[in-house]
Amino acid sequence: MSTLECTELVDLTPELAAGNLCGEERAAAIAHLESCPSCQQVVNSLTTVADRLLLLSRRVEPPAGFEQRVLAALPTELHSYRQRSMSRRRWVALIAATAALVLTFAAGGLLIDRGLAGEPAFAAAEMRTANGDVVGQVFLHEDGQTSLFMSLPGWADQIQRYGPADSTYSLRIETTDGHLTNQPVTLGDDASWAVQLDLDLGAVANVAVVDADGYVWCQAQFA
Amino acid sequence: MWNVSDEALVAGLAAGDREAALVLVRRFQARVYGLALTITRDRGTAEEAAQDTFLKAWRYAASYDARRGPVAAWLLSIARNAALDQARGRGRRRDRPEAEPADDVAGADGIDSPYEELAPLAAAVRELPAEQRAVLMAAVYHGLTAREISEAWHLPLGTVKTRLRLALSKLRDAFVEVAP
Repeated sequence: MSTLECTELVDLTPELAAGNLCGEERAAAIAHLESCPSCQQVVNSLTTVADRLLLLSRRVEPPAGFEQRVLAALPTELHSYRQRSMSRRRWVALIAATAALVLTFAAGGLLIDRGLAGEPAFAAAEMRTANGDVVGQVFLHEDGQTSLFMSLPGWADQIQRYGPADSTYSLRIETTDGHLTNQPVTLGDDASWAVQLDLDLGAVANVAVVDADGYVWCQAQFA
Repeated sequence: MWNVSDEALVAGLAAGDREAALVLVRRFQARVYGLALTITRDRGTAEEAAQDTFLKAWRYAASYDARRGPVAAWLLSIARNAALDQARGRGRRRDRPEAEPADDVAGADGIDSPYEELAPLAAAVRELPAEQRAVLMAAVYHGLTAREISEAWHLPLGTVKTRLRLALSKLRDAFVEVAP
């Protein structure tokens, strides 16, 4: 793959922002952006404009019965693992935490709400690589039992770029007293995963995705 | 449930809640179908693309990141790709957009209340020279590359790229003024 200069990227920027750049040109542009904050800023601002343009499209009501057809087509088994580990009441609680995350992450990447006695508690932290890149989030929710929900939208990129194709990964959970447990992780296309823990929420100090050699790919610090 | 935020609905989808999915569909179906119809120019194809959009939202809800933009932008980005895929499958993608580009964009009075801040952007689109607006719409809405536009409209490639760059830059300046 060729290395681009800033002046060469300028030529590709509009199409990159519009989402129409493909193949080698796109790969070269992305590679340049990874090491050029000023070009990154330009592309981000133009991409935001292109995305917002879609919000200006005309509204047209679809044919009658559309929503029923959509609901009928939703797969029932897709989220079964999430439903096992997170009841409806729990996700309602989780979204309350999520709303706060937008602000809290910006302030430092960690949110902990212990809740009052007997009430649900939440904690959330950003998943970061060794370089400090944010590749996702980990949510902890305790309401009788502690649930962990991990979302890694940047996972596919990380693995495609650096990871061995045949490696297996596990989630390493470190408690505040230094105890380590490993659980195999199977990440679907949407790179999310949920599990119930036999731990109090406050006992979780660190959550990390590690490979078979113990290399830490990304981690979220809670304590 | 009907009054919860867009972000909360997406969190509901991520947790597999079908009631959240119903509310999300009702809230965004006109916007998603409208964009799909703009791109595909065919009601049947647009409905397939709109349906595909909500199925993908259901499947990938956990990957939505509120810091990268509002739910509507995320959903319409999925809708655009779904509509382009459908159009490509039916051999329509390389067609020159049939309607006047300005018809694809709502007027200031057609913008919903949550997106009033986009009114200056809509105004800036209408103020673009017609040739820049046409290239912009072909690229952003219809997914045509600069080379495809150049070949379809018999314009030099450099001219197409310049028009697209100028159009996006003007809109960015207008958007930044209201959303720093």
